[in-house]
Amino acid sequence: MSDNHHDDEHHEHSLKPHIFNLLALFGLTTLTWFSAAYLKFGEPWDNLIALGIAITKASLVILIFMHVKEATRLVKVCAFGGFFWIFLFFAYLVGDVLTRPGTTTYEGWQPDVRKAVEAPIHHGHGGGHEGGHGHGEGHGAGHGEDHGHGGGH
Amino acid sequence: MSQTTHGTTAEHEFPKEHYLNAAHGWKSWLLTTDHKRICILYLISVSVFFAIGGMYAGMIRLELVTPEGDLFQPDTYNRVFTMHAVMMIFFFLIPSIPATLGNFFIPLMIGAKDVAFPKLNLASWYMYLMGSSLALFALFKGGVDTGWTFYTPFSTTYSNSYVSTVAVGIFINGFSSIFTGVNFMATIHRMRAPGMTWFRLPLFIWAHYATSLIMVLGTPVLAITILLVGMERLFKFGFFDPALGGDPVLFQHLFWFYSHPAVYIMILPSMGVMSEIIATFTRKPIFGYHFVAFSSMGIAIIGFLVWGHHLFLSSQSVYASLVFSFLTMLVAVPSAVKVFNWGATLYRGSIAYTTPMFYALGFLGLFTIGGLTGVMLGTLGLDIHMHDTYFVVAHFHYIMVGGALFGYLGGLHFYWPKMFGRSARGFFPHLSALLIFVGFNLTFFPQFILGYLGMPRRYHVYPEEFQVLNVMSTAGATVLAIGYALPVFYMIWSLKRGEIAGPNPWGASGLEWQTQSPPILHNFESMPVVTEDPYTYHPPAQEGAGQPAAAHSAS
Amino acid sequence: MSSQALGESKLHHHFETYEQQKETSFLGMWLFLAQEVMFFGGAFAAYVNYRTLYPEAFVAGSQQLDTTIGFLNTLVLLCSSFTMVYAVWAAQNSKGPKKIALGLYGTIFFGGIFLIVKYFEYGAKFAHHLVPGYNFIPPVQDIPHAESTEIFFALYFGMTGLHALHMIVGMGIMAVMLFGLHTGKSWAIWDRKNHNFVEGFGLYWHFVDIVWIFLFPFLYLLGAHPPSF
Repeated sequence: MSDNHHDDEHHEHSLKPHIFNLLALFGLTTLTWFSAAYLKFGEPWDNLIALGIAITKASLVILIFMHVKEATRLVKVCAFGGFFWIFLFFAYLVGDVLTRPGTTTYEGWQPDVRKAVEAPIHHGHGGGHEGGHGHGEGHGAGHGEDHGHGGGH
Repeated sequence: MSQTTHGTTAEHEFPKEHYLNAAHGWKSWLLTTDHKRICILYLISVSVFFAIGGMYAGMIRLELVTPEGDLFQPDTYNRVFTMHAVMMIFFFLIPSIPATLGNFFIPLMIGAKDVAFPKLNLASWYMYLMGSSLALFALFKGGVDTGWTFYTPFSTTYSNSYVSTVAVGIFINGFSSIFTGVNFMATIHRMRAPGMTWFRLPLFIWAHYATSLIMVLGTPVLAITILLVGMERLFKFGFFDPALGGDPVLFQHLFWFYSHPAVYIMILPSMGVMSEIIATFTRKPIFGYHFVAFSSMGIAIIGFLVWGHHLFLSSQSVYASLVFSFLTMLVAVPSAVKVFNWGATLYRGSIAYTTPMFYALGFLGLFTIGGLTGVMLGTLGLDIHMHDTYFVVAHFHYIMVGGALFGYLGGLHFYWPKMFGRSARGFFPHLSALLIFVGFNLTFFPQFILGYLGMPRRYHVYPEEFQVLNVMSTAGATVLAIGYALPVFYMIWSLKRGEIAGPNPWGASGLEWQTQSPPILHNFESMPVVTEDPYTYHPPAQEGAGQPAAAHSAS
Repeated sequence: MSSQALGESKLHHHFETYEQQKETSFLGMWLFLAQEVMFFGGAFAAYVNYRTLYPEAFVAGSQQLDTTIGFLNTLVLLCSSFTMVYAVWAAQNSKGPKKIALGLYGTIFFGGIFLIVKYFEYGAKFAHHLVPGYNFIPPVQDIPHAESTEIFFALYFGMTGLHALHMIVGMGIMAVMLFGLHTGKSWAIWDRKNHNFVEGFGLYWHFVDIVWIFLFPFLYLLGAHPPSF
């Protein structure tokens, strides 16, 4: 068993792919820096290029420097699974932030959400008093006043 | 199969050589790399923190007997419920089943000599010890008043209690979880005995695999969250400072991305234990084995994507809330698959009413209540009414106590004879299980009603009309406390005086029951070879007199 | 079995074969790295969150960073990754302790240069009143959410600081490895049959490199800069 194992390893390793990989990484780094600092393709493209090159570089390091290209399927899943999982988190996070009312970047989302949020404030007078009575006399006055201020806008 | 002992009813002899006497002296315990000894180290330390957390629970219930705040100042009360949660969640529930029963039985069930990384396993216990000591230190200095969720900006800017100390403690304790998770996953992937294919694994193993996945992928996010809070408190960096545009909802996202799946870290291993107990005491294979196995993975994966239901009343967008609400209800599907399949396993089973089985039956009911109220809370509209009320408190106690703790106690009673070679059976274990079941329901069912009527959580005073239900709840807590105290006595007693168990006192299937009790240092005399599916129970005629013996001596 | 000839001490008691031991230890290492991805991922999530909320402030912040220094430092770190590959290669092919040590020294050297450059970059931030919570003054005032530039720099210091901390830990481990190589310790005899430790550590170092590969565009490049020299 262990004899096979040695043979595998013996003719497996050469430095050559790693040298090419290093040169490719140098090239990509230069490209991303040059494109961001000098070429400037405008609003979405610059960011997409920078991120695309970063993902390519990371994949090269994982596949070649870290020998994942020759590794078992299980190791491949481990190597990329973490990235996939955190990407899912980013997706949910950004999804939430972009659809929040008042987010600066996407004004288009605002009106319908705002309506839903602001509606009760306009009717605040009635709602406040009813709630106040339900809970008890002492609190009722306070509630009414708070809502009075809100309505005054 | 190295040695089979089915059908021997004769008096068993206590084995001469086993892991407990394989080495002597305190060093052989504190420097051990044997997974079975590490289980016992964890068992002792986890029990200590359960007791501390329980004491805090007692203080809370005592304060809430009367509507006035006569026992604590408001701030003291904040510290009491925070420390109750921190101790119970981080230092008891999360390590409870995986680090004790999981540690002991994963290698035994898959036929391995040890976990994949024994030194890492020991390191995990030391990490736990360091983290929990820091939390204890903070506790003696006065504790934390932020609630266990450490919501910013209160925890970062305003609170002047020992937030940083406890945060560092939880950070370090996180490593213990990560080490355990890495260890279990590597063990389950690479250490299985010949013939132990994925679908011959006991469901306990599947549940722990799913748990480990959460531990490895979730815990680091909590670690970075704590680190951000720590940096903010130490250097005033301002990650969550509203004056700079810091976003408290980001903290909640990061925190619940770990802490919601953490609930599944607590409940999944318990579900694994349930599968073992139910199969053993109905003498049937688990109904729909594949479905139960995959439902564990399904809970782990979908459970990761529902954290936003804790943020319905923060400024999370309504669209995100809708998605999270939908996914929350989706988790109910794999959970229901499990409950229905256990129910179907009971059907026409040859049920033995042993103490572990009492816990299992209790679990079935309580987990169902806890799960269904969870669906209620996951419903977007209803949650607005019940958010931060005692309904939520009751709901998660039904999951964490009725689910996770029942699994832990049931598992402890089930595996005790294997771990120590002597049984703890008879009247007192039954009484304790009964007291815990009754006490638990008396404590927490009134809280559903209180919450629905609108009593908010985390207040030390409440309107007088809530007093009757609160007194009921406190009375239940007293019964519960007696139920918890009993096992301490009879289990310690059983270590010396209990009936000698023999290799397979319950007549259960599975590799762990084929070696002697307590097992030898390397678990098996020779490498076991697996040739059967899990939970293969032969008809009683074949099994002889061995099988009903369990049922008889239990009652 | 010839595995007996390899020396019993190296096969731990709970494994059956060397193959199993090797695969298990690498699986463990990869799981640890997946954990690290989630750890840094949490910080990146904070970045993504705030960048979505305050894009102008983040562009203003990243324009305070010197793109060229970041670029050159990236090259330096890639070199350190290559020397690490060299060390692993030397171990895998039984090239002897000297070549392994050469690779490790090279890695420490390039890692050291990276950290020294980082030190001067940090120093410049202190001089330019860009240290959050200490002496921060927003570099650009007439943009929406100008005050949130401080959050950008909090993330800058937090993330590069954590990255540097990982490098320092790695360099500490390499120092121990070199000590073992030079004194000929039995655990530091790495050759074709036994190089798990070097290879496993190499994975860690490459991972640290990958973190920087993402930090560089996130902190320095996104936001279309004017050239810095």
